[in-house]
Amino acid sequence: MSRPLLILALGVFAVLCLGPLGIMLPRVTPADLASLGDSRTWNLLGRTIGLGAGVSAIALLLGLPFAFFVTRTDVPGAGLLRLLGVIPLFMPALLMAMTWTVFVDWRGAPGTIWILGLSYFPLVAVFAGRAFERIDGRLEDAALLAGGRWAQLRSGLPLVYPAALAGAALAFTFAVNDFAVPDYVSSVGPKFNVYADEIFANWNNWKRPGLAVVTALPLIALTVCTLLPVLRLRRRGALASIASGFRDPETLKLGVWRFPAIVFCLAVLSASVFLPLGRLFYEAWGAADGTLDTLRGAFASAFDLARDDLARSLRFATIAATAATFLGLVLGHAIERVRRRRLGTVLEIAALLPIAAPATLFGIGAIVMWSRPGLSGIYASEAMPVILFTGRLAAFAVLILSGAVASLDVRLEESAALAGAGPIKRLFQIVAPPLVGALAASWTLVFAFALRELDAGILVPEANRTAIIRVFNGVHFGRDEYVAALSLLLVFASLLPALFWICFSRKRLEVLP
Amino acid sequence: MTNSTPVLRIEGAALAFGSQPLFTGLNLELAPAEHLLMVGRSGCGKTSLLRAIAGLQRLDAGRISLHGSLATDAGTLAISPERRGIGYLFQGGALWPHLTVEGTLRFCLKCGRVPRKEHQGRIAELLEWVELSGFEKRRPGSLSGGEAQRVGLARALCMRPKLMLLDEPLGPLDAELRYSLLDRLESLRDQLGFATLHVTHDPREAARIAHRALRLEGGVLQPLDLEGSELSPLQPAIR
Repeated sequence: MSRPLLILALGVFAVLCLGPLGIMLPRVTPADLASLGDSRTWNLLGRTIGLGAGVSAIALLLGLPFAFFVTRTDVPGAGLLRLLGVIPLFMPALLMAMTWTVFVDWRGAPGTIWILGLSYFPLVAVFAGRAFERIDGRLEDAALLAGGRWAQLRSGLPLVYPAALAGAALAFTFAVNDFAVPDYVSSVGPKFNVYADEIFANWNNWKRPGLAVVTALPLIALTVCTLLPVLRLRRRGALASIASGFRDPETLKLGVWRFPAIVFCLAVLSASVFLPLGRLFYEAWGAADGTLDTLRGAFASAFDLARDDLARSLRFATIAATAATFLGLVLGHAIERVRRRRLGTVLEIAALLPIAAPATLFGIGAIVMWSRPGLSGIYASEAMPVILFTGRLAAFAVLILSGAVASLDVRLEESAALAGAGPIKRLFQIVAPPLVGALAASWTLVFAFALRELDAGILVPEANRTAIIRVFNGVHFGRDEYVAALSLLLVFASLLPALFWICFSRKRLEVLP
Repeated sequence: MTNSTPVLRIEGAALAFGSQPLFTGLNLELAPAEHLLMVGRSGCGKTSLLRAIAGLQRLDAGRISLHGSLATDAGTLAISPERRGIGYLFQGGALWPHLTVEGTLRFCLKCGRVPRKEHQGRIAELLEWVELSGFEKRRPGSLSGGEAQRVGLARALCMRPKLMLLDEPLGPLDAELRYSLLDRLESLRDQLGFATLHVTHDPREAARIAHRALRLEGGVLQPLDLEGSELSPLQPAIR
């Protein structure tokens, strides 16, 4: 491991990812701390935990069977269904809220839970799907011989639960930190206050960063406690290292259950992908009175009015994804290979903090940190959104790539060292090439998340001129065909790198070992 | 350094796995061109010792010298692994999955700063040594166990090391391939003159080409008689 490169990466990570959170702590005053005794704070926490638990439950209920059907059974078009099932992760949850609030009258907690559940069920599906296909066929055969199909299923499920729970825990974290969906659902129905909303309000109304921190503390503690098991669970069960002699598990023949299985998968995809995108398309078309010209006009307006915003979004997301992936490779490698294991563990936990903190708090921290005299040049420049998005999202790259490095035989690096390759050469020429699928996954995920980053971006003036903020403003101040067309363009842009990769690369996008 | 300077000298080496000591106060010398066979049960610390010699693992105590120069002093690496000039044949080859056979050898030659114009000739020579001419464009996934192991051997020989560490090199191979690879190793050793520390858990393996044998048991090295029944090579009939 190259010490100068590691120190550089640690420095960048500390400034961009941890700085906005660390800089807020000294701003807490005793008056701010008093708000911890406020019953309103604890009511909000309870409500937010309820929201997260509901979203996790929906993600499990939809994601686990979906993953099973598309990875292990002969359900028709399993590969395509599996790909389509990832799309909600690339769609801003706000778009899901915009469309589902039209379909149903659910508002408040039920509506928010349903919408966020649909947005984040792919986390469970992706984790569990990977686990299902990594169950050793020999284990299943042994169970089959011992007790038939039921025993086979029962022997496999415990190997998948850790992965599914890891996905559910991530869904919980995303849900409790979400600001845009509760805000939008509240705007079309009775007010549904959650924690992220409160942090935003504390900052927006009183400009008191200390109060925002104190309000967030119980939530951060809660999300860290939720995320810590994810670090363990993602390497447990079928996601643990593959044993030598591993045999792929067989595809299960569903027989008469094939039809209900495909209906279930299509229903999940309809709710999470086809209906929201279809509704946006319908709105861009001009609703019931629409014509092809209306649709063409809507896209033309979207291009004309939001061209600069879209270009900025793409530019910011591209640079942030590249920087985050680079950081992820260096730090992910360090987490797994650093000689002092405790340092690796500390680094891994530190990587969770930007995810554990509400994006609104992260945004406020970035404002406090970068708007100081001497740094205002950066704050007012286009570098600011890149700094904000890289800081907020690099943690995903670090965690994806540390998992990928863990699955790589350490002897590959050792043999390169003995061949005379130095640490930097080993990292970029021996470690990186076999991880190209994970590197691409990390890049596309950070790119998509940066394009849809709303909660932190909405606070920072330079990050306000992006496509997602324009959509957010559009839906609050007069929604029309143009907003729907811009939303579709945003989804398409989010999916584009992943589509390119799938079409033109032989390697899979690997978010898990 | 003189011709009599040991290629490898280990003095008072100690290493523990967690709270379980693997060996303590271990001493060992290896003369130039000597082939030393080290046997012992799985988990007795053979591979850890090899890794410590290569600089891939630090010792808890003791010193390792290579060609008379201090390489490891307890937990400190005086010479980094990439500068030790050691050839290491890993169990199973541990080949880089993204590189072809030619790419693998070229990478090593580049690391060793061999002039580019010499690469082609050296690669051809290495592949000839391990009887894999024509395999230049093959990737590890398309190689059999024996072929992968021979590519691993070619990689280890790339910089013509004076010390070769063999970690259960014949483990996954069938009897015929084991003998073929042993013959190849013996002829290359005699041709290139490298010293060899050959680790295995199978006492019969490689006894016929070794000059000396030791058993690592309970953290202590004990000499073994190469002619003893425990180390007698497989009978020719099995070949």
